[in-house]
Amino acid sequence: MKSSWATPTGLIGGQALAHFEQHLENVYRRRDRVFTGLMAAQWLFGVLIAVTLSPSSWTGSVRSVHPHVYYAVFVGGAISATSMGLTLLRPGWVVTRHVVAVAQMLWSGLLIHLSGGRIETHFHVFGSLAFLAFYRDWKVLMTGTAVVVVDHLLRGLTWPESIYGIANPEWWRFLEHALWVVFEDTVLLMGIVENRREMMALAMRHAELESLNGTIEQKVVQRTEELAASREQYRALVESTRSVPWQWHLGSQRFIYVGPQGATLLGCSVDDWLRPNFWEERMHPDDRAPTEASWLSGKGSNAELDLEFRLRRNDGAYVTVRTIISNHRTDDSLRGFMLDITEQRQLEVELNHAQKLESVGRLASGIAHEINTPIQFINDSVHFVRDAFDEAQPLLEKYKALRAAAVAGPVTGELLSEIDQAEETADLPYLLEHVPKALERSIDGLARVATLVLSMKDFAHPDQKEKASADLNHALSTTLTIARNEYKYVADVETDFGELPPVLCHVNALNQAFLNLIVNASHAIAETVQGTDGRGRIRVATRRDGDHVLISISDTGGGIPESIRSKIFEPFFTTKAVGKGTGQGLSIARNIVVDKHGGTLTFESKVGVGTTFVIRLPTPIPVAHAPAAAA
Amino acid sequence: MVAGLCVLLVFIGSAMGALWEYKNTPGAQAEAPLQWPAGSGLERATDRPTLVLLAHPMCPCTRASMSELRTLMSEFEGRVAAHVLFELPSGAGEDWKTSGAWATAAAIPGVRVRADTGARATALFGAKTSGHVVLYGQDGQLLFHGGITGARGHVGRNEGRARLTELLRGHATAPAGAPVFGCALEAPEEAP
Repeated sequence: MKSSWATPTGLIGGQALAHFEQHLENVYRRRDRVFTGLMAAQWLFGVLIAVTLSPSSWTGSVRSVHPHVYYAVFVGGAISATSMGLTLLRPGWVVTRHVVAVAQMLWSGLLIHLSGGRIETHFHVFGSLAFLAFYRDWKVLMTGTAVVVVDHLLRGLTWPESIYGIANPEWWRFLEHALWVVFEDTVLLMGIVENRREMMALAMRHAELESLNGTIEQKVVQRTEELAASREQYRALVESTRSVPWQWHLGSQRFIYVGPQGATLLGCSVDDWLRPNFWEERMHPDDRAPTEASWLSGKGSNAELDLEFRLRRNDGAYVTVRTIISNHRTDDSLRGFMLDITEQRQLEVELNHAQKLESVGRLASGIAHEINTPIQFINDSVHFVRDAFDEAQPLLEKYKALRAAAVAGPVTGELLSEIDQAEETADLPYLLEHVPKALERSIDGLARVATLVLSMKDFAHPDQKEKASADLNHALSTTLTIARNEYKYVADVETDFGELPPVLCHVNALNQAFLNLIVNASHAIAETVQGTDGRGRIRVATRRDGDHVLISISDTGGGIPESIRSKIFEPFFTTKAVGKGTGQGLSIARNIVVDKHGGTLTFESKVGVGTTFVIRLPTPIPVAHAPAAAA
Repeated sequence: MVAGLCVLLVFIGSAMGALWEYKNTPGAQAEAPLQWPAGSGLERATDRPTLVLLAHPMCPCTRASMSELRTLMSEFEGRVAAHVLFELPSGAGEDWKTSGAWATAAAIPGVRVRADTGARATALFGAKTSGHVVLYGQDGQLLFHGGITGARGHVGRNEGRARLTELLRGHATAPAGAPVFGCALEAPEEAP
């Protein structure tokens, strides 16, 4: 610890010194206040002593007021008044406390006189010196001591008996008294020094703490500014993106924060987002149950949740949003981002449709061949009928002439010979046998073309936005028709259609999935039978399984190797040569079955034997088609 | 302000000096008879010295004399016949007999307290100031006369008590005296 006599230096030292001096000033003022009370009390006490112990002096039977009373009232009053005047008017002044020191020691003397020199009253001297030490100013102690010394010196010279009890004391007697005063002063001075040292140490700590607080405050201000800047930066970043940041309060079931992008997203104000019941008002009715189900199933996990649903804009249109719920959740709130994926979904639909058309396009040559074949024999058949009619026309003319002759009279033999000749020339038996067959073939061919065209039309039709009830057996038939050219050279198709209920679905999307699986099966068999005369088999079966329908598409191709089974559903994964496939078929099929319809797409495969893909779809029966018995 | 303080200090210093002066000024003192006076009404002991303290029952300074007497009697009880004689002027009220000094004197072991109505015995012993002490030997010779306090109303070591102590211990034989500090025992107009 530094000595109280060493003046601290430096900035903190200067502050410490200021604190020390301020503290000391406060000590002086407080002590001055204490001595104000003490001086008043001593004056009252002195008067009380005088009035009690020596109220009157006597000359025989004549009484008069004892001088003690006058001294207590007036001299004591002067002593106290002088001191109190300064302590009240100039507290903390250096002169004040020195005057207090003088006054206090004068009171010691006066009280000793007033009490008749009682030994006990002499303790007031030592007690007063101790009181003066409370000023923590050694000079004040010295002033008080000086009064004692002067008093002893003067009385020692003029009235030694009052000090030593004898008129002619030894020369060293004053040392005995002086020694006791020195003893007490030494102890008191040590206390003063220690007190001041502690005060200085406290002042240093105070200054250091202030400096530290100042530094901390500066750092807090700086960090606060940095934090504010950082927050502003992040806020600007977050609110400048297309994603809509949000915070949802679980207790009140409403948004408590939505980024400004939310206003643009729905064409409303941010305040609208924060209203209660916003969710119920804006979410598409069809999406509420699935969204809630997804939330309930995923809320217990620590992972992010990814939900997709539609929200209604102010203009009535719906936007599709993807919401990611952050895994940083609390018990009462959720946070996340919302992204408008309407355009993306639209593009996906168009892409799907384009892919569908691309599939159709890829199958175009086969489809064209399928159409061309019946058209060919229709063409041949129609030409044959025309030629046959041309050949039969002369015969018909002869029949007309025969009829006319029969009406006119008897038919001549010549006419009959001409008719025979004409029939032979036209080869009537041949015509009678083959013309009907040609016409049947034409009708059959036209039916095949019509079927193919209708299938094309069904297949290429864009998906409706809403699901609709569909007959999946019919859909599979249509798809098999479209894809016929892919498998007819390499495989036979076997169908086993069970009784299926109408399924609420996007049937055109499912057609796409079925097509992709059938084409894959055809290609797998083609690879297997290539170079041989063998043919494979594609089996398409459907059946009902409780609240689901199962569609299985099996092939007798080469099977899927174990090493790639985990990748076959990945977009753009393919084992075919470049130009033979884009690798999107199974990825799209899975997307359609799983994401769009909530079903499953699984497979079993054995290398060298074949593969079976199984589609399992839920079948919520539309209300319009509910059995009457259930009503 | 400093000048005012100085003036005040001078006043207070002067007053304290005056107080010292008052305290240090003994009362009037007359010669005590060298032989035990007859007609005092007090019985002189023949086997030991006889001490008489003459006092004003209402004088506050006498309290100090009584304290000194108590100190003496604490050593010399039984070895000195001690009397306290309180002067009672004519017309003195009953409260003079019940004053604090009277009670204090009565409480000192070995001390007899008597009233000296009319101050006759007081005059015989030559006492003019309260606290006057006379000591006569076994043979009736005066050994000591004077005060046993160092100043008015002040207890503590003093010349008078010291000399008296020496005489009672037998360490001194020559008569001794000391100034008496206290109130006057009689008003001049009441002197017999």
